Amino acid sequence: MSTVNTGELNALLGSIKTSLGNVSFPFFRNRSACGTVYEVYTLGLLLEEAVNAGADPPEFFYGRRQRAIQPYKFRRGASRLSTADEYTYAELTFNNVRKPKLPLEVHVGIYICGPSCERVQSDVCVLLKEEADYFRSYSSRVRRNQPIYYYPDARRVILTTECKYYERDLSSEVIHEVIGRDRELPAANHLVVVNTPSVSAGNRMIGCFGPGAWSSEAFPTNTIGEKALRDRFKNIFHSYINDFKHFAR
Amino acid sequence: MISDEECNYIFDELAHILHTQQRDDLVKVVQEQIERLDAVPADKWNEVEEHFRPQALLSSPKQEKFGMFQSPLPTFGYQLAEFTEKEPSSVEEIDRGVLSQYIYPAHERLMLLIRAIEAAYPMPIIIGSASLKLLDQSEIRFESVSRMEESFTLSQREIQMQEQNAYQLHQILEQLRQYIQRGEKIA
Repeated sequence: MSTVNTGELNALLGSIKTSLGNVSFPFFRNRSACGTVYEVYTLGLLLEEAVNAGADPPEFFYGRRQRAIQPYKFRRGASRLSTADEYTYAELTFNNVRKPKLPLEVHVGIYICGPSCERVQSDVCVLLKEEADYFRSYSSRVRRNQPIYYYPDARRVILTTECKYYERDLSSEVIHEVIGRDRELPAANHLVVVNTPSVSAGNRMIGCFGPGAWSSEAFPTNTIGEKALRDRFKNIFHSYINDFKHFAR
Repeated sequence: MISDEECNYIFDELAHILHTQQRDDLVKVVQEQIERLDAVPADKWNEVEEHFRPQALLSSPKQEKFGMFQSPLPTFGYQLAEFTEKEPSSVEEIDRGVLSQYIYPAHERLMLLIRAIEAAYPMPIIIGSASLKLLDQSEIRFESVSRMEESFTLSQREIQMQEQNAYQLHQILEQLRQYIQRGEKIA
């Protein structure tokens, strides 16, 4: 301990001890509560960047187009879309872009599905409004020679985001589970948002889905990580606005 | 950078503080990452291979002989294989404790613990506050879809009371990081 200024170090450790006692929101002792709040933070960034890319300011609803009033309500966990639910979602319209595009909805914690028709959770999901409308009106979709879809079809999903708020780097087990889930979903874009560096997990995700599928160290005090996430969202909405599909009729 | 001894001292002090806060789980989370080695990137594994493999081979006296003969006889090679049977020839054979120590030296472990503290204490409040601002809400309700988790409300009023403390703690942890990195006096 020869080079340590113990007095100063102890003062620092003392400050940490005191500060820990002053920072306590009871629900944040629960990891999944932190994770849910992280999803809503991600939603907030996504909506801002949608507008920056050219979307109209978002409108918030619940159930079947009832305007959301305070406080907004989000899911802890996931559930299917239904007319009866009271969870807040955002609607994005694109009336001021060169060629108006189909409106989108942004939901937190919903089930969608791929060709297996088995439900898969999407933490922050951007999908075509017409697809969400369908599953609010009907409990399933039957097509000839196809299995029954009980959840929105991932082919009509513009972005499915997996948010991981952890106190450590993501393990190979966790990221393999995410990759398996994303592989099942033929969504236009997949993205994992994580608060830690998780370099190994990032390499795995990028290897499978490309560099756009990974955003690490995204949190408010890290301007680089947060900006990278914002840029990713902005690019996704730019692509949506400029693609040759999804034109409003 | 400060010495391993100093890093271990700070780690123990922080672990003790967390114990008094009944947050031993944060130390366990860090230990889990260190012990399981389940988040180590490929370039680090490669570095480990390069670090340990030559050592293991050089430690074998037969290997020295192997080096003397440019083209060893097959029988010699066989003997070598027999002789080095107990020597580690891949990272998988090296004691996990030794690997953990190499991959996560004292300084790295301490950084992981500081990050865990930051993720558990100030950051959820900072993120909660950012969420309220981004959505322009004074309250956000989180409703459990199952009975397994509790519903809760995040309010601007409650968050505001703690936000300043959260930023203060974030800054103190940042100062500690700088101190560890540079080994200099704290400003």
